[in-house]
Amino acid sequence: MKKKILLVDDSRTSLFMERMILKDGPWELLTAEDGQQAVERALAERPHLILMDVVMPRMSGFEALRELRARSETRDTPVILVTTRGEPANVEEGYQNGCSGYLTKPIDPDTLLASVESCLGVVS
Amino acid sequence: MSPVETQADALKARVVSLERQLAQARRRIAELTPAHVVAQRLHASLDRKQVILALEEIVAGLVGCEQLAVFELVGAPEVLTLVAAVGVPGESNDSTYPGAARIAHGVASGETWLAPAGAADSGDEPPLSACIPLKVDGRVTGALALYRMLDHRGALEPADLPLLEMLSTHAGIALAASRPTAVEAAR
Repeated sequence: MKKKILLVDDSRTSLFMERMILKDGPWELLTAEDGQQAVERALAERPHLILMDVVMPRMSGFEALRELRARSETRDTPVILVTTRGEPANVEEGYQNGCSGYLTKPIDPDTLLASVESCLGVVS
Repeated sequence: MSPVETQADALKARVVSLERQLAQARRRIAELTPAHVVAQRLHASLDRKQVILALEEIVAGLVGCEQLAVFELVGAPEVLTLVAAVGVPGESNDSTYPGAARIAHGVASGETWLAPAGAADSGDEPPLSACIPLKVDGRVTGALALYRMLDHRGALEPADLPLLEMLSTHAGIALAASRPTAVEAAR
């Protein structure tokens, strides 16, 4: 069975970019457009990895991350934050809330792919 | 050297060659992916708001800048007119806009301008990082002004020009194609 990756971003451009980078890998791609939808999809689909933006409507990436960490079903799901917010305070907040990795936009395709492969234990 | 050793050496050389080709292919894919995203997103709609949103997302997510302004040449005689602003003042007076002289020069010359490395930030107004003329059929139809880059992104450099040149054409065409909806909305 293919591993599932949940891509979360309110930017259709970022979602499209991530899909382009990851579409040929040995995994199934799911999407959500804000933090609240991300939590709902994570609980329903139990993805093996979540790539999530920080600044989003309804529920931010940080809030969603806290919600995911508070629930037993998603407590251990790796979450990589992918965001334009590269300030040290934001990076620190991300790790304090339990993210597994922190990538800044513009997205570097090689870095994103390497991070995903590392999290999922895939050898390229 | 035994035949088996000779064959093993040949296979090792083949592996090295294939790894090199794979690395080249990955670099090429990394270069082409943003180009594909730009084209797909900018031409996905004829609605002016959707085109501007796509442009905003591309500039933030692929270029690394969250302050931009879009100008179009409007009327006869043509006047450079602000049509969208994100993260910078949305005033319509293009002659007093931050970097107005440089933007006007970019429209006149048709050439992309990048701020020189280490350009000082006066702090009074958003520093112009780049001015990209928008083109349709090689004719300048407006300009895309990029202001302060994201801190972690750093300054734009010549290696970024291919992506910016692509924006010049695709954004120019997408904005021209969406002009009827902009005119309709303004009525």
